[in-house]
Amino acid sequence: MIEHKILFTGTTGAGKTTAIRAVSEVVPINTDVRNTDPEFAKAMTTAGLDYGELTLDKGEKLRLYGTPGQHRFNFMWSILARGALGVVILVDNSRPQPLDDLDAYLQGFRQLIDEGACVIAVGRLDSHPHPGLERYARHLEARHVLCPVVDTDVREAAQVVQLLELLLLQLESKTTGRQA
Amino acid sequence: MRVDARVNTAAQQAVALIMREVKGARAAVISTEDGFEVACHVENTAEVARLSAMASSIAALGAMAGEESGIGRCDNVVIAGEGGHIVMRQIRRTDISLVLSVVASREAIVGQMLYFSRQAARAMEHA
Repeated sequence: MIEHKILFTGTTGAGKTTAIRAVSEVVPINTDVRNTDPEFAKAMTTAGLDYGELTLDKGEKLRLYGTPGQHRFNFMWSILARGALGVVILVDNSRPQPLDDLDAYLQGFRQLIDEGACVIAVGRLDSHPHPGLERYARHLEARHVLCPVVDTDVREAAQVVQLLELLLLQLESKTTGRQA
Repeated sequence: MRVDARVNTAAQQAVALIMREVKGARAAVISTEDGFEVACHVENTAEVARLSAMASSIAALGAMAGEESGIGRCDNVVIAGEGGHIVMRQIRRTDISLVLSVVASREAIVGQMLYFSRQAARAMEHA
């Protein structure tokens, strides 16, 4: 069986734990603790990692890891990125500067993005339409990052699966491109 | 302020106790469980903000490993390095959970680090 390690990252509250919980076939592991940071209006926050597993229709097994979102936990980013094939970056469009948020993760996971695959999943676009997906695409282009940007609601399992399939497709095309 | 004045005072006393009693102690830091510094006493070059965040992650991973392995709640995590030891101890108050991190040189005795970490944690839990 082919197994892949995939990461979910993004700002606190963007939905990393929710995304993994939505699709995991095993009881997800999480390391949530009480949030004391007034910048984020949420009760709990991930301090270590989230973990879940998903088998796709083609038989590929995905081991899904969620990172802590806050920059002070960036040592966990590099630990979790080891051996990963791709990363899904979740962006919360209701935050004041979502493009700046995105930059922090593009920078933090640059090596994985360059060597593996990446998908940008923008959440809360329905209630906060700006910046739009085209603006994200231009932003990525300016940073020489080639990856899909999609509108996503990670509470919906089907949409999370689509993100993962998109990631694997990107990985496949990159591998094919390298072989050609 | 993330914690009230009473907790803050108790945290200052706890790190002072550790630095006074633990042979070879180089740093004692008390952090919130989500990785923010509450009190510290550092005699080496430890970056307190970084250590606080790491203590938070390690304590959370220790708790998860304890649960998954069916050994119950995790009270301590001990890291044995070539040049010393680190003990991380959970402090469970009803209003807030904290993590005490003690960094000590090689001459430190782990049993003593654990003993005084427990004393400091208990004092804070009842403060």
